[in-house]
Amino acid sequence: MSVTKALFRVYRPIILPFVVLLVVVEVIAARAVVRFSGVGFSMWLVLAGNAAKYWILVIGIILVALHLRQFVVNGATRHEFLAGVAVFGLVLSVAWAVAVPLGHGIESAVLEALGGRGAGYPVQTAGGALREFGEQLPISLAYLVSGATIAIGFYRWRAWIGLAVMLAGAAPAMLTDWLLGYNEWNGVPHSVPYPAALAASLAITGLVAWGCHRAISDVPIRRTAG
Amino acid sequence: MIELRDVSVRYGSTVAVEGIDLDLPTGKIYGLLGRNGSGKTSLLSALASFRRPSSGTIRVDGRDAFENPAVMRQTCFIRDTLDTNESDKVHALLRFAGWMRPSWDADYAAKLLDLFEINPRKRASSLSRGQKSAVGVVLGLAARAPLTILDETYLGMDAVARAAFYRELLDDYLAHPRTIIMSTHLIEEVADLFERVIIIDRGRLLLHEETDELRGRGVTVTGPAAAVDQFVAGHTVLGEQSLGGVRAVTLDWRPDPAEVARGESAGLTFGPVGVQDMFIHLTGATR
Repeated sequence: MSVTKALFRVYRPIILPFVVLLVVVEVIAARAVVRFSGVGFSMWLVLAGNAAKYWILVIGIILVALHLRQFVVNGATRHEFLAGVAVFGLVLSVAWAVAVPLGHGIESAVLEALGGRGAGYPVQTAGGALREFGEQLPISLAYLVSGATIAIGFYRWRAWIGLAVMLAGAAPAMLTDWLLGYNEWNGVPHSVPYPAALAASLAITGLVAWGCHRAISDVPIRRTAG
Repeated sequence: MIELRDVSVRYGSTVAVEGIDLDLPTGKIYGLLGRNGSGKTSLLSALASFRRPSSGTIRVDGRDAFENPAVMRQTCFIRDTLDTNESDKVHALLRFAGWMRPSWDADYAAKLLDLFEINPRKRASSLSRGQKSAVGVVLGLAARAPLTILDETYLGMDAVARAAFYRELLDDYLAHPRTIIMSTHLIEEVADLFERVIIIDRGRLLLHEETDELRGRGVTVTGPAAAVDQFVAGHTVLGEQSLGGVRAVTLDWRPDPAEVARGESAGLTFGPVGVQDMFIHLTGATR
C-alpha cells in the first residue's frame, strides 16, 4: 500500500469526526446567536477558517513526530514518506480550501432562509468564494509545512537547534497569516495585492518545505521523537 | 549477498563503528555479538537504513541499501523497544504492518499473538516489557522480510516465552528461508540457532566465522587437577573451574587426535567450547 493511501486510512477516523464536530458546533453556535439577534459575522469562517488551521498545523507536527518513524520502520523510505505526505497534505489542503467557502455559502443561504443575518454579515458570493479558496489554500499549505518543520527540528537536532528551527519553521504560517489571513467578516486586514501576497506565501512555504525535505531525507530514525 | 565496505558510524566525536568490512551470504541465521557499547545497534541501524553510515557503503544483492525502496521494503529491523505509537492498540500495529509489508502473514501474526498470550485489543502503552518484546517478535517474524534483523528484541521476555520464540523462529526459518541477523547478550541460549557468528568490539570487527568452526577452535579439558594442569601447560586458557580435586579448563586450542588419546589415557575428558566462552575470551582479551 502506498504511503498516501495508508495516511488516509490512518486519518479517516480522525478527519471525519472532526468535520462532524465542526458542523455540529457551527449549527449549535449559530442557532444560539440567531435566537437573540441576527448573526453579524460568519461563525463558519471563525471555526473552519481561523481555528481549524491550527489543527492542520498539529497534523504537520504529528506526521513527522509519529508517522515518519512508523512508516520507515515498516519498510518505506524517507523519500516515499515525504512524497506520500506531500500528496496527502495537498489533497487535505485543497479539500479544506473548498470546504471553507462551501460551508460559508451554506451558512449564508441558511441564515438568509431563517432571517438570521445580522448587519455586517459577510454574504457569500461566487467571487467571494473564489477569493476564500485562494486565501485558504496557501494558509493550509503554510500551516502544514510549518508544523512538519517545527517537528523535524526537534526530531533531528537537540533542543536548542530545534528551537531555532522552530522559529524558522513558523515563518510560512506567520507570514501567510499576515498576508492572506481573513477575519470573521471575510476581510483581509493587510492590503497587500493578492498576487504579491500569494507569491510571497508560496515562496516562503516552498523554501521551508525544501529545507524540511533536506532535513528529513537522511534523518536517523530515533526510538522516540525529540 | 549483503556487503559492507569500510562502514563507519560516528556520533560527533564518538566512533561507534569503524571501518567494518563484511560479506554476508543471504539465507542464513547470523548471531551478532558484542559487549555493551560495542556498536552492534549502530551497525544494525546502518544495515537497516535507519541511519546513514558516516562513511563506507552497504549493498544488498548488489544495490545500495540506503533509501533504496526495493531494499528497505524487504528489510525488517526490530529494536529492543517497540518502534510504534504507544497509544495504538496491538491489532492496529499489526494492521498497519500488513498494509506496508508485502510479505506480511496476518494468520501467522494472529497465531503468534495467541502463543505469547497478547491481547490484541490492548494499547502498546499498557503492555509489560515482556509483552512489548513479544509484540516486537510478532512484527519481526510475521513480516517474513527477506532480511530480518532482531536487535535484542526478546530480552524482556521470560524463559518460557523465549523458548517458544526460538522454536518458532527456527520452524518459520525452515519453512520460509531468509536472512536473519540476531543481536543478543543471551549467547549460550541462542547460540544453537546461529549458523554464523559475528563478533564486534569497540566498533571493530573481531571475528566472522561459521558457528561450528568457532566452537571447534577450542576445547574443554576436565579431569584430575594435576593431570589437567600438566596437559594445558603452554596453551591459552580461556577459563577454568575447580571443584574439589577436579578441574575444568577451556583452551583456545584444538588438540590433534594423538594428544586427545594421550589426555584420555591420563584420565582426562574433552568437550566442546561454548560460543559464550569464546566470546568472553575474545572480547575480554582486547581490553
